[in-house]
Amino acid sequence: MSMTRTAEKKMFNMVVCVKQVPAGAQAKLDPVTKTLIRSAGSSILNPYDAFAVEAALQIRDRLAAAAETSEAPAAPQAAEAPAPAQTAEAPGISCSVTALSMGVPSVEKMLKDLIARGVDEGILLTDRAFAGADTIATSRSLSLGVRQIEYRRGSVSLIICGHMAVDGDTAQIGPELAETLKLPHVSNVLKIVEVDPENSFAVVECIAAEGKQTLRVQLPALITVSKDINVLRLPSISGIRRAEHQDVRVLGAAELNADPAILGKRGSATQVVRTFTPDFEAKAERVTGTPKEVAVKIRDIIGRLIG
Amino acid sequence: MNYIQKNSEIWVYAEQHAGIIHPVAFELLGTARKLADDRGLRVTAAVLGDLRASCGEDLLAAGADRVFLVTHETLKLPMELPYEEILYRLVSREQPDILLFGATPFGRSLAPRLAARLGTGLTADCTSLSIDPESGLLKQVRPAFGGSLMAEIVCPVMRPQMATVRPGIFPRPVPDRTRGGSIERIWQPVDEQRVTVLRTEARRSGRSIAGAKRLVIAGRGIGLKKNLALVEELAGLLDADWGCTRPLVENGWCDSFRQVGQTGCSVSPELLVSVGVSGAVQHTAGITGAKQVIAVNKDPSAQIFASANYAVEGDCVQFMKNLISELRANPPMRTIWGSSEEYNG
Repeated sequence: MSMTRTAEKKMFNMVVCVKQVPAGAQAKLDPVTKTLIRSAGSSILNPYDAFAVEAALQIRDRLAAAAETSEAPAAPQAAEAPAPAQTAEAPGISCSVTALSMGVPSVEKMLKDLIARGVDEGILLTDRAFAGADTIATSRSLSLGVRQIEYRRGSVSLIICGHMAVDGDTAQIGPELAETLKLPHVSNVLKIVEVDPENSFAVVECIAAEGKQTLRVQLPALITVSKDINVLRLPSISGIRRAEHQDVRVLGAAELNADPAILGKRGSATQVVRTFTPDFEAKAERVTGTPKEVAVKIRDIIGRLIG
Repeated sequence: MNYIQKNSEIWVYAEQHAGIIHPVAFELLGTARKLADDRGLRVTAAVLGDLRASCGEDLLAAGADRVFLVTHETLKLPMELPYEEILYRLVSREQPDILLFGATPFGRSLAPRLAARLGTGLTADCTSLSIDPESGLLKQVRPAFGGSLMAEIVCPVMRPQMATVRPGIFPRPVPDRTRGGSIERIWQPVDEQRVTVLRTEARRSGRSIAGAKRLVIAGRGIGLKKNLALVEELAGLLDADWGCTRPLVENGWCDSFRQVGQTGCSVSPELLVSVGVSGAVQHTAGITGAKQVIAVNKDPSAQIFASANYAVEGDCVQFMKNLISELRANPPMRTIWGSSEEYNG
């Protein structure tokens, strides 16, 4: 590909924010420090983020297919799924998907797996300075990661996040990251109807108070995707080979030119004072007797309560 | 930007759709009022939209001392960007100490944007709020890991202290029309076109059990789908609505609006009869607001008993049948002079 050709190409860079979470719903706490034990048990890709990754890959496939048909209308339509083009090198558009995560060094493996599934690049922000972050400090770190991607690839048009992480349940990172980057955002997207790089907009369906809303959002933008909107594709053979050779870019606070004071625990506005398991101490009055006696007693209790 | 607390006020963002205030706004005002009264603080409600002045009066009656009513036709539909802009300007000017949002889909999308802009902390989906008498900090309790863990969180330095609170957790206050208060109407157009609504599709079922005063909730322990008829009948005799746990929705036995718990709705009835519910935290997170809970389960160690005031160990289907015939024979008396127990002698 010549330099001039590359320069003519329309860029469409996407970033997917992904998080590694403990497998299983039960949390393990360090009894002394009251913090989460991250190493205990196995870890998985946050299920919501899997939908975000697949959504980005589908957009990349769609844009590549559309560019192909519009540039060469005579060419026969690919009836089967288009070959899993890594960076889609369709004429007219250069499309990329970068997976961005913040976490412990072992998250690298999770990002490698996403490369095997078709993501173009994995970036891991890992540093003691990032640790202990609340949502606002996390969104600052991620925003610096996005800036690094833009520095290398050019401007990012679309950021996709999972609606929430199953360990924290806050659903705040998406909107906070959007604000930090001064982008518009749409939460809880159910369907990506259209992405138009030429005219810089997307049309999405999302959950709203009264039901469903269809929104037009100007790009660049950030969206968070809801549960079960798709199924993350499996790794391909060529993807697995590529993942073997391609390193995940690992960046620390220094590489991000970050002020440590605004990141991690230091940069967090909130503090967890204590954590506790919900109180399961029985306080209930036992109502006993024959089934008939119990029914009479309960009827009387109800009468007293609502009387 | 951030500020050091100047103005000891509790603010409530009152979400509205089509001019109707979301119930959670009243619940928040009731709680804000209590927190404020304990410490001599002022409560302010902010409502944005294309609004009538009567909206403001309802908010005063629910506990606000003053209302900012920001109105313009461009604000008709709740949208994050313009609403954030207006709240940012108001909050920067007035500098409240605490700012509360309902944890609705819109509230959970708007509040984090605003928090990031203000550079302050935000605690998501709180189930309990209190003010520490010594430090004066807002103690925010929220579930994590699907409710298997509770965390108490504070925002010690940055202001305002922001939280979203689940609908249905706090009781809705009885409106007091005699309360005074001021309403400041602000006419404020916003030019923000980056996100526009093309279409809105109403949800099929507008039904909700979130506001039910009495509720029967069925869990997997009812065994068969046909036993839902007993649940319905029991609910009818108690003048109650009925709900269910997640497995019953997943089995296709019940409409999803009946699901109570973390992924369903939160309820706060005066009376809750829970039949055949094991009481996983994902469910009990949704019933913390219930006043009186009668729970029936054949497993004596069922976790639901931890949330109950009255515990019945036994088969829930048999229990429902017996209670139904008992209620038919002797309906609980509504008396004005005492409980039915005294009445029955």
